[in-house]
Amino acid sequence: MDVRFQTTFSLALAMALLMAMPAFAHTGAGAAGGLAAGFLHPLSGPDHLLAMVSVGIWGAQLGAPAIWLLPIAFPLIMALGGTAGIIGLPLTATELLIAISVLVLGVMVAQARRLPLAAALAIIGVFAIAHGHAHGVELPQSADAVAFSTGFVLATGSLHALGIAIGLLVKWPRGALAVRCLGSLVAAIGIYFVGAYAVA
Amino acid sequence: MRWPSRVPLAAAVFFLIPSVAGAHTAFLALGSFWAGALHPLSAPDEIGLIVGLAIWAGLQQRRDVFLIGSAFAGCLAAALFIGLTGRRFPGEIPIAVLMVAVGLAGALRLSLGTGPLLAAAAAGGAALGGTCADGVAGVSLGLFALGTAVATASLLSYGLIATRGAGAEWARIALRAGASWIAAIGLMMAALESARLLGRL
Repeated sequence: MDVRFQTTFSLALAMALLMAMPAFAHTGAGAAGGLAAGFLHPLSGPDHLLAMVSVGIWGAQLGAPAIWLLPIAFPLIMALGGTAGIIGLPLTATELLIAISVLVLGVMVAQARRLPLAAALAIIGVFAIAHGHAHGVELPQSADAVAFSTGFVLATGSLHALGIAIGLLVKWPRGALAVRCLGSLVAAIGIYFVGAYAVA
Repeated sequence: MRWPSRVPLAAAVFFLIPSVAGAHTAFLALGSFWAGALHPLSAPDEIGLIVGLAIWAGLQQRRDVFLIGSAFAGCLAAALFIGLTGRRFPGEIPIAVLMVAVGLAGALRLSLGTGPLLAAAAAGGAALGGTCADGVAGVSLGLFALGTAVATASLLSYGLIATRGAGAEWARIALRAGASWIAAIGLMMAALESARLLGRL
């Protein structure tokens, strides 16, 4: 198929679909509200945000195949944790695990720690379950299932992509140093989160 | 497919998502054919299932894509026709379960042979057909079914052709990441719908 035709067809499709949106732009209700709620959910807490970006950065530091395997596995495992939270399966110390995840992932990035792939997957698996469970428990009751889930997974994937983009700076010596400094900052914030949990 | 055509296509998918609220009613004024054609194209779960199926089949570089498309379209048309004549189908849980199945199979790049792929295509077509028929009234059955069949078969065919042409390593990785996202969305959808049915939400 001609590339020019494909481009024109795709552009026309985009424009046509764009026209269907304004009806919902002013209400924030229905599926659009669900999509926005789902998308904003992972972005609304700094602990979630830092952990997910750190997963992407760490994956980039580890290189192939971790650079793509960790971000592929994390949303899936997190959805599993979210499922547990939605159906009411109890998970103890979720908030502590989330705080620890920020600390541990920050340390991994700061040290550019090279672990075996299975160990790295196990670490992010445990943390993904905790993050997903917390999101599942806090789920708004009025959420549209399709729209909320789509927004939620898109936001999570986007945060990983952001992390990978930051992590690609390790190709340059100064970039690698900057990324490790960023990891130290994340670890320091993780210490604060753990401390705040202990005090509470 | 070269990258310039992917950018507007990604934009199309992005803009498509927020319009789902009106999927079942807003297009009826356009006539039966267009209502049928736009109905599945404005629902992210139905698009997710079709794209997931296309990714799984496309990553296997199969030559029998025509067979997969035919199984999908045939079962969709049959379920749609049965649904439009008044028979009720289960809600969105079958679509969510199929999204998990094809998403996982695509993310893991499983090659299970023709049987499972055909079964997934047939089940997907049936699930989509049943869902598209739900809640639609006052349309011409034939035109609505034709519109839905043409739209979904076109999307599936485009997906199969586009994913088969993904030769670069990064493109295959992106497709597998997309498949894992589809599985994750399906998993959460299934949980939410189940919780709602059980009265937990």
